[in-house]
Amino acid sequence: MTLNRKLNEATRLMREGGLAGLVIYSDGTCNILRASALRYFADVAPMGPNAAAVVSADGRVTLLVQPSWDADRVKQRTWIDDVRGADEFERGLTDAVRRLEISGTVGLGGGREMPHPVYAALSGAVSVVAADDIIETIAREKSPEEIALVRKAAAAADAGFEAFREAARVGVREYEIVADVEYAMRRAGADDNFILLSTGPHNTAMRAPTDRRVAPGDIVIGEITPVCEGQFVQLCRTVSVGAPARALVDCYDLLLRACERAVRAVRANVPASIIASTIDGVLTDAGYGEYCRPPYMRTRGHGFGIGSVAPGALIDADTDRPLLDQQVVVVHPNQYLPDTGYLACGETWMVTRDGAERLARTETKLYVNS
Amino acid sequence: MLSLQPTLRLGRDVWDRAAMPADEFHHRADRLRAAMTRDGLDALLLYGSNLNGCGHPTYLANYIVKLPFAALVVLPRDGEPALMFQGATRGRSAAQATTWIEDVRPCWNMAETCLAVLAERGLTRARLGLAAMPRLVPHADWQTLVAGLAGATLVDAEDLVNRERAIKSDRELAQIRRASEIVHRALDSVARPFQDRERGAVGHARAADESSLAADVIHDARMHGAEDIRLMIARPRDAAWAFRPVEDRPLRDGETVTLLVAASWERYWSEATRTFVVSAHRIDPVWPADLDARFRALASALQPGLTIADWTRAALDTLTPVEANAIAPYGLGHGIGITPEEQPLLSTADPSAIARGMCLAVRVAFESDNGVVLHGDTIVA
Repeated sequence: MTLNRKLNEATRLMREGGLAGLVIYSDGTCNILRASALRYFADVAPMGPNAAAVVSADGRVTLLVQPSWDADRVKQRTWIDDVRGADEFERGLTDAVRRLEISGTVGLGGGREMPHPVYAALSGAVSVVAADDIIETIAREKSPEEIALVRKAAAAADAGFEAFREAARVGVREYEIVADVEYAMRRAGADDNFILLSTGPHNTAMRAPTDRRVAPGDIVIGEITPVCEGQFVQLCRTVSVGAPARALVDCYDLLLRACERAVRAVRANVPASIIASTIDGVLTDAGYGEYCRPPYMRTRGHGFGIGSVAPGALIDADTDRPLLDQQVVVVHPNQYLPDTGYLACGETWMVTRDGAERLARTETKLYVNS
Repeated sequence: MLSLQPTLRLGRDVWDRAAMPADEFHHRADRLRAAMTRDGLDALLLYGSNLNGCGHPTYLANYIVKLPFAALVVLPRDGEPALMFQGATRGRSAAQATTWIEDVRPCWNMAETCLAVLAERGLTRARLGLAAMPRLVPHADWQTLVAGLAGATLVDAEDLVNRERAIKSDRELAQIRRASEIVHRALDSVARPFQDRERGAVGHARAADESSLAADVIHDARMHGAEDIRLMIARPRDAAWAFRPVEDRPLRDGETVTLLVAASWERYWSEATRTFVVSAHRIDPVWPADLDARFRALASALQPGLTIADWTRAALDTLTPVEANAIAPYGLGHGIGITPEEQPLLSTADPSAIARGMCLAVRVAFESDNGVVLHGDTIVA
């Protein structure tokens, strides 16, 4: 039923938009900042370098994949019946458009990823207009299966944080921490991971891991983001290696207060900007107003993937799009403060009609490793 | 080999200047400039995108994208290069820590930034050599570039860059050998779950399913410094098998599985393929001496002077029809280095000569008592 909903909604929105067809393209990447529309629509991760679903207005669909030898895997995973290898992708794409008798204007989803030679071939066969909104609109309603994957990702995030906390000890290298976190999350069912961290007495940002060994007195910060079949959940955590300084305790309490107050404001149909304005308000009241801008912080939160609020982009005081029921949003007052350096504090929530549901189980607090 | 790209390149990111000093990159720039002079180019634009396709800018800059975004290096024939990458300005310092190029520009609009760099250097009406452009450039960016470079002459120069990248220096080969050590160790770890794994093995005689097996192998590689990893699995005794990403399928007694693992060490990749038999409590490699001798003979024939087409034809001639059919979808291999798959492809259609310093990922299928055994390794010519 879920699968028919995607196709039914797509064809309904195509008709509303006067489109004769829809091409949903992927270059084979699934990016936390630019999630793959095709991965969502087809329910399978494309390998790439090129893949596309071609949808006719009467609901016929062809899925083209590269490399051709991946077609059997894709057939077993997707709801789309007609899956074809297309090692000569441009020709495969225009052939599919002709075979499905699509003429006139075609909507293009994922077009931002489409390389010029592919676009040139497509636009040589039909008139092309951007249509990313179609997939975004379909994806705003989550299926029970998608919600189950979000919960699976949340459990993986908890496992990842336990590994992070266990590994954040004197002598362990940064890349070894990442190795353990990834291992724990894969064992807990994550098929992919997004992990940034930093260690040191005064961090300035989170980044890829280096050879640096954790030292006594370090602050270890991490952004832990497991992925389960395209659904992301993120935890932002800080561990003090050794007894924390008073300033660290106070600053982290401040971030926790900001986070808690922002989450209390979250519910369906309020503007997403309320997250940023609430966090900035708490920090400004505490005298840190000048740090509520880059490079001292990046964003107060964001959505994940297709159909989420401000997917990949920042939620700031100007994000006037409303939060919607079932959206998965991370609220994170991750922040550089002059007394402590950069601190990570954040939690992923599912927006509900009257509030927000916490997804992970591990507590949001300053952790201390002896 | 092509495989799923991860969401993020999340492993160790270090520029060891002793292993790969700035001089190495200066020499590369010098060689590219000499080729530009020969071909009458005023500047070279080296474009790349995503985690599998960013080799050209990395070759010159040493910078790697972490997210599947784009990067571009403008190398004037006369003047200093500039590195652009898609990302926030806060990424500048991390980028500068891994590149010798001083002009580093994080940006979101790559086309506009490229035009600005070319304008600053007086190159908007120049003869520009293009690598991976427009092949990998998003349509909207390409439109912007073409409009902004209406007075320039645009020339495809990707072969020029590929030729340079195909022959590895001694330093590059050393990095690839280090990557090979990581790959081999990770694959060896499949058969020794209790012997030296630091964590996670308690209570497990062996991985119970494909995902757990992958987690074990990836963990081993990460713990030894892998910057990025690709892993594919195949079950060559299944009727319609193919390489694919792992799933939650259980590993049962008597089954045969093949793992293809590629990992990178400080920008340089290596790939290997091994086949295993699953028993109740163990997973053991399948690689009898006669098959090893056949593979060694093929690998040792990759000698300078022979053409790629000749080697490929000779290699295919040694395979039975079953073996040739098994490996046909994937080919016998390809170049490997800064990207997991690069030029040259091991094909009967490639008349170019094998040269000293070429690094090739070679894979074969051999028939055995255990059915088809898939095997592969990274070979230096």
